[in-house]
Amino acid sequence: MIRKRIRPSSAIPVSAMADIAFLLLIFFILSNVSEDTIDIKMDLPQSHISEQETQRYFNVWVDEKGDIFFGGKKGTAQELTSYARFKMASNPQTKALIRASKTIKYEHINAIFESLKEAGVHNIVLVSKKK
Amino acid sequence: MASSSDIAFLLIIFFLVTSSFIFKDGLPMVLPDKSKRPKVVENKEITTIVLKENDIIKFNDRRIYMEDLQRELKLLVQKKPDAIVLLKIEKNVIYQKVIDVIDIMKSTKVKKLSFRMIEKG
Repeated sequence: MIRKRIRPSSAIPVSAMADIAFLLLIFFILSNVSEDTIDIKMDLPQSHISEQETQRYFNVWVDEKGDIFFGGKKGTAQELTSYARFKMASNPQTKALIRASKTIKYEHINAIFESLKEAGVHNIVLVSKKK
Repeated sequence: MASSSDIAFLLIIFFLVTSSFIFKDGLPMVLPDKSKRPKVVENKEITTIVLKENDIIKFNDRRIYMEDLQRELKLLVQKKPDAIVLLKIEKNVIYQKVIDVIDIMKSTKVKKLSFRMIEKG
């Protein structure tokens, strides 16, 4: 009896590759949306000078009503101080990115400066859109 | 099927690249240390800019307009490269105006900038 030897196919299974690719795609999309992000409608102020930020950071949002958001939820100025302290403890070089609506009054920004100073955060970035 | 994996990989690359760019531009500032004693500087060394409501800007008690601020600051930096500028901002000033002024300061290379919020006055 002569058995036919089964030869392994020489073709690369391409259809499985698409599955892997889609899995990776889903992974990256989901991991991008970290718990830090919030969906607030915001009109950032515009400036001519705008420097790129690459260091570690955390976000503070201020919406048109002056409400402060950080770490994925709304909070008070005191809560922001303890949140910032926690962030500074894990990395003392952490920067605070302040994304405030351009129409709010300066006193809200000042309040955030004060709570960040209290927490020992020295490096902040006033996030703006390039004109 | 092979083309769908191509599309998927393209999308991966797209998301990887864009996610590192989104909304990270801005004006970097350094806040003072609360535990350290503030430096004492003489009054005449400081240039005071007061930002009031209704777009009123006072440059060393002289009323000027936003358009002139750049020229004034340029002159100041030319005369004194490390001039200290104290920015007093009334609490009702709109944030965009503050950014505008800081923007001008950054573009005229004012190195020492101090912030303060003031009540109406």
